[in-house]
Amino acid sequence: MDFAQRLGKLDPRWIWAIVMVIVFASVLAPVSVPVPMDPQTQGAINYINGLPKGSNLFLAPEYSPGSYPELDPQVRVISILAFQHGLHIVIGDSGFALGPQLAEAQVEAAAAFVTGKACTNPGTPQTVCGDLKYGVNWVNVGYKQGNGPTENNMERNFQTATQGVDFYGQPLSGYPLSKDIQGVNSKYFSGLWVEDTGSPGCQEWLANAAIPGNLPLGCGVIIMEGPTHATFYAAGQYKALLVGARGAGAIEEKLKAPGLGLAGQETAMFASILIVIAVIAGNYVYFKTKGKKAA
Amino acid sequence: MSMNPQDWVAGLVTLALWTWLIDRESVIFEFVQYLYIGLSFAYSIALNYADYLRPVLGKIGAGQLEYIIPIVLGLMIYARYTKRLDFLGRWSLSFFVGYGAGYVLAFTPAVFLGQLSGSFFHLWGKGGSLNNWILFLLLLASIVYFFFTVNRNNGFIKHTSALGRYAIMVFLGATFGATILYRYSLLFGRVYFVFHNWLHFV
Repeated sequence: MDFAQRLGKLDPRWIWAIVMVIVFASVLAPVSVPVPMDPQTQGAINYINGLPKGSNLFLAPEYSPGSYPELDPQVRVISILAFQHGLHIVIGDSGFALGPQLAEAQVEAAAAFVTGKACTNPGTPQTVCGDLKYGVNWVNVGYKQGNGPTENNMERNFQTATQGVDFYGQPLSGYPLSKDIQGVNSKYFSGLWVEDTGSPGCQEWLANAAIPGNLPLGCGVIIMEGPTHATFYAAGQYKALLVGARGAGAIEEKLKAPGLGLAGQETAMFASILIVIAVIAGNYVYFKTKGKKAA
Repeated sequence: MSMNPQDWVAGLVTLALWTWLIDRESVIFEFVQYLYIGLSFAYSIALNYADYLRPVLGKIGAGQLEYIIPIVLGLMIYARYTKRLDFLGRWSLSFFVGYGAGYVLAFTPAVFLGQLSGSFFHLWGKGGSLNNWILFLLLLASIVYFFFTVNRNNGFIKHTSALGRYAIMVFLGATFGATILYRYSLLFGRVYFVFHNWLHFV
């Protein structure tokens, strides 16, 4: 068995072991990696800053804990930008049960960063972070099961689709921010931001709320979904597109609000190098062993 | 080191999953794997009850009897287990399929039309660029690749189709690379949790 054949039959756990060494090293001995701002990421900042001050932004965190390293930082930076711009945030999703819970923690972290004060009673309807308060500056309607049809119902009949209660089971009519909202449309909101890991995600919210409700849609995606959603951004259907932890990291750097997005960039750099090496090795094995297999 | 019991459970379970690297048939790994599946099911049942059933039953109790209709439609699906009443299961399934078809026809064309209009590029004059030419030509070539009802040995179709295949492969390659980077992000998230949130090493 020659080298190429041995390489082709390598136990995949060795690859994972190498990956773990790289990730462990980059977490335990981090080096600062600059994350330059690209036009697409700047477009996400411009999208939030372009919404009318004091208006409402609907945030749909369509993701589960598996995607938190990439999308938690995105929710945090989008919320920081929104609060700095004086926007109110209404959180709610239709496909991922734990999305609103993850987003709530990030919105609270963003509120604490913007006001410079730690939140009191975090994770409750009485959360107050400096002069930002749950129910006044943000509300979480939680997970409302039903995918596309629920999104469409939220666009037209917000109070019915949400069953009139928030993430904590409290009536939406009891909060100044949500008591008068009747739809996720341009009458009550100025923008719609969706965090996407698959389906339902940006495409579904585009079809069910952004187009019928005449709302400009901004989309944050995991890096794996980046190439797919680039077509919607290029076609002008999304007004902004933020990709992966890198997009969040660039905004964290610009806002001087370092977090998980920026922390993961060193790993991403070494990962990219390893991917190139693996692609070369894989092709080497393929071309060296192709003829032998056929024989 | 964190004093939060939740961090301890999450940290220990993370370490337990990594035992797969040492032993593919690790009992610890298998235990955690099944624990995860069990917890997911339990959570899903509790969530469906709290999010769907309880509010609906509350509404029926408050006199909104129209909510009985979807419950009956849902229960009718189980009629397929009895030979005499299995037609009732088909009725409710027909309702769901009909609703789905109508819903898709009503709301998805707008998305496709946006994609279609987005593929009309400025090629000359103001707004025209080399990028637009590349996009235009590769779009045409990719479409030609899916022409299966024409003679594909024809010189033009053959070469254009090959160009389309390369364009699709570039897209798939980019997606594949991004997928691997995403897996790194997941691992990074867990390692960062272990050393930062749980053990407070960094």
